[in-house]
Amino acid sequence: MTHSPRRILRLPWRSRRTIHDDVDAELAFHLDMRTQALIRLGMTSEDARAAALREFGDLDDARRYINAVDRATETHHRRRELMNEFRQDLTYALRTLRSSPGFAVAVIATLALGIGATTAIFSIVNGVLLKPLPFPHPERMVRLYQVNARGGRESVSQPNFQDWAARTHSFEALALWSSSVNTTVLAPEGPTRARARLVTRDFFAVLGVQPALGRQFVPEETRFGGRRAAIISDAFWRKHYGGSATVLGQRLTASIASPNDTYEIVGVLPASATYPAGNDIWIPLELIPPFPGRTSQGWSVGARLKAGVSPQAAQRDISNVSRQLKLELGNVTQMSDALLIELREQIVGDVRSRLFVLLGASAFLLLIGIANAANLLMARLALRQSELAVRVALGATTWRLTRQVLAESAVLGAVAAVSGIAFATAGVQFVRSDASDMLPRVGEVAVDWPVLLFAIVLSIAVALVIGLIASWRASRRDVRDALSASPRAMSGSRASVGWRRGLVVLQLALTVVLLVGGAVLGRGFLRLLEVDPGFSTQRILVAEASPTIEDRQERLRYYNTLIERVRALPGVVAVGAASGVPIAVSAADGGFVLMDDPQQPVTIAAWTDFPAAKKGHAEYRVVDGDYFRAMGIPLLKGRSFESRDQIDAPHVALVSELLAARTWPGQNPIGKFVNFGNMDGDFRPFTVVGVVGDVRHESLASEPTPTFYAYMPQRPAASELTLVASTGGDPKNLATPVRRIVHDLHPEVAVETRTIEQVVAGSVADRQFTLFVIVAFAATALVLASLGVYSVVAYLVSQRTREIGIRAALGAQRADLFTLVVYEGIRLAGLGIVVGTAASLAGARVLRGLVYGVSGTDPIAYGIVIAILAGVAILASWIPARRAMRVDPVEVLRSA
Amino acid sequence: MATQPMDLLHGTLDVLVLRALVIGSMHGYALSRWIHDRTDGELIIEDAPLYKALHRLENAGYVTAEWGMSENNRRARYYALTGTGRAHLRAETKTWRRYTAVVERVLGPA
Repeated sequence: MTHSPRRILRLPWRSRRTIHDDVDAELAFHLDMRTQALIRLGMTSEDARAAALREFGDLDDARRYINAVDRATETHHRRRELMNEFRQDLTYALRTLRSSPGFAVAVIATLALGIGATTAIFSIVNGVLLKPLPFPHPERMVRLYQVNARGGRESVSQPNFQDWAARTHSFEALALWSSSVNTTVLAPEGPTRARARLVTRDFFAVLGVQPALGRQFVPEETRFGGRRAAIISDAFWRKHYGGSATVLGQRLTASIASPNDTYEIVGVLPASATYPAGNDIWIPLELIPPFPGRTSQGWSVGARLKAGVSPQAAQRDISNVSRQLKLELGNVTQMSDALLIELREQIVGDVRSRLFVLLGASAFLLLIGIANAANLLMARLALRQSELAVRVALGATTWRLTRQVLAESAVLGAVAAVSGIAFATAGVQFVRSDASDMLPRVGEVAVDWPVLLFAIVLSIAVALVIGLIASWRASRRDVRDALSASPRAMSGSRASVGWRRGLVVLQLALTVVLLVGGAVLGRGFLRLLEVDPGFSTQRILVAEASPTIEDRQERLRYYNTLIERVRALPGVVAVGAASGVPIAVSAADGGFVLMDDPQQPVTIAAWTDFPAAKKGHAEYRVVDGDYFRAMGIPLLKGRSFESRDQIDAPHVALVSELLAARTWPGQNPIGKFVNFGNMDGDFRPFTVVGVVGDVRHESLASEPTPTFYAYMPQRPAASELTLVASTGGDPKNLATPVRRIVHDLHPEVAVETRTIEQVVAGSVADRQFTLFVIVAFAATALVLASLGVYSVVAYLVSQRTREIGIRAALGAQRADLFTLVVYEGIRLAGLGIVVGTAASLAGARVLRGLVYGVSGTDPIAYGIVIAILAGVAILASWIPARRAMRVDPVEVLRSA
Repeated sequence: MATQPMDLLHGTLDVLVLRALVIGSMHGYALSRWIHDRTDGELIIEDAPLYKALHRLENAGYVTAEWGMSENNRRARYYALTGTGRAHLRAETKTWRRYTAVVERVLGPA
């Protein structure tokens, strides 16, 4: 390696212009010297000049060449010098950081937490919200809904769908599909549960995907009574067919369109294109007879916009068509308008606000980390002031010192970035494995290139910010002051301490906001768990074990035997079954009609012809055995179902309290007549014989819904039932015996068991996830903020040792000195609390709009937060305060 | 026996320049005269390639240059050999000697 004189003497860089002039001067010197020499040999000056030029050769070429070479040399030198200085800065930074590992670890941990948290949340935001849906032109995919007279969004009926398809012009393809059919499938290794959907022939055109293996449905398979074909998901294929191509042409038996049909597998969808998410099997809807009723809703509709048609234009189109249909059809349809929602919005709309709240929280955590790191860096620079002063005296420029600080923060930032990314990767792993049912599109969440780029850019920005904040205070003038002042007065400028106090107050304020967020969400969550759902939330086993038995008598016998045998198991208290179990398994809802006279004949026409006062709407459940006792749903009035309620006896029903109050306000519901025949085609009237407690069917957060209960022995036509068994012990222990009983009765049934605790926990998992993240962030923030308080207070104590010593010498009580220091911590905490509370109150207004059920001004939550923060601030100043108490006045005065 | 001056074999100029600088730092003109004197005019060496070589060698780090005052008090660019330049010269000289020895051996006595 060469050391040019310029490098050693630090001569200024040569510009292009200088190089040009230098070359000219050098060549001119040569020619002049040669010319003079030749003149001395006796030539005329003109001849001599000409001879010198001739001897020189191609002057212009040489000049061009030399200019180019010199410019290259110059660039090369500059680059090398920069590299050298960079290496020097870096070596120096590494050396100083190694000499204070505690400081380095504190800063790195602080920043790594912030960077890691922000990166993890960003990777979720990126995967769930930012990445395009895995379909061609996903922006053209929409969902369509009927809108009723009250403006409510509803599912679609088949005739309305067909009219949409025929009359609109905005769509390239429209498709209708069923809700998820949970069914037992005979897979190669035995019976298994699978989710299936019936879809119309254009379904895959709407998705815009071809099967990865095999083919789409052909016309022979998409007509009534046609060949039975199925397309399966990538996941189902891998799990049950080992990902083998021999799956094509194999047969699977399932009860989807009708009981125990055999379908030929003709295709496997690509892994990314599973839609609706979690579905396993797609079957052509055209195989089964159409549902001609305009009010037979419950179908989902999706469409693909024609290229160049905006969603707004398509919305106008479908609205016009739907309003026209309403004019033509009147009361025959409930649809008075239509609603178009972009598919992306439909999938992620619900979680967007929640994710942005989390992203905001992680940004707060990062800000706290930055403030903490800057604070620590400033404290260290203050300690090194005399060293810096010497360097300035030796000629280091401000820029050079700034660069030094930046190099240190760059090293810290780089290590923090690596740790932060590792931290984020672990977090994302956790989300993918343990939080998969709390978020849509969770499979797309990964620490991939965009996320890494985000983390790197973020880390660079963070390193720059803390470096600049810290070096701001280490500017030349401060340092010079430090050098001229006596060592003891070298307390760091007042401004610098002010800055550090400001940073700590900022940390505390942000911590208050996070804590308030955590406390408000946490209290909301606790309230949710305290809600009475209307059923028992413990010691119940929920078992889905439903064979498809076409014969009604046989079906009744199956459930009878199952319930009896499970009841005989040790520890079992009560056993029942129902077509829908709260939160765990949803069932149908529908409209019923009220009858004054049980003899009055009723047909399906009544549902359109009866006046509104004679109609009602309710959840419809068919139950068997001791369902209400098993679920802990109280009987409030009348009687429950009994063994005398057989199929030939008058059909009886129970209603929930809410249904009774809404349908027969102020009257006794017992003895009233209801017809719910549209649910199963049996138009025999029900007599209400009892009232049971209300139940939250959807989730803990949703309100109870009016519910109508029929009895299985009288209404066996209903769908599959789910078994519930309450026990005195751990319901998990029931799972295996129940499985064995089901297997004995029906070897080809797959059994899924859950405890009611699991059901309830699963239903609040998404809230729990948000809460968990916010609380984790808030706890981390609290630790960082207390570190900040500690470092500033400790610093002030070390600066004021002399003052404290003198006070002690003048007779101040130790307790007074203690208070003096702790007061400093309390002052910081007080400021932080005031600023943070104000910010929280302002933020709560925003939060209230974003997160359902957040009051934002919960005084108890605020009280808790203020108490915690004040306590932590006092604790953090405790240690330096004790140190102040131990200051020996003699020692201090002697060293003065 | 009068002979025509020869063209310089490719690559030899760099070695000559480095060799010249062994005696001390000098400016381009002095270097040109030194080589001219040493070769007694038997090699045709124009000055243009000489200067090109100097700047090329500077770029390669074999020589450094700085402005100084000439014997007649004019600003002149002085060149000096660097450590790597010296090493390079040694290596090149060795190669050159081996090369000429081989050629000599092949040609034999004339």
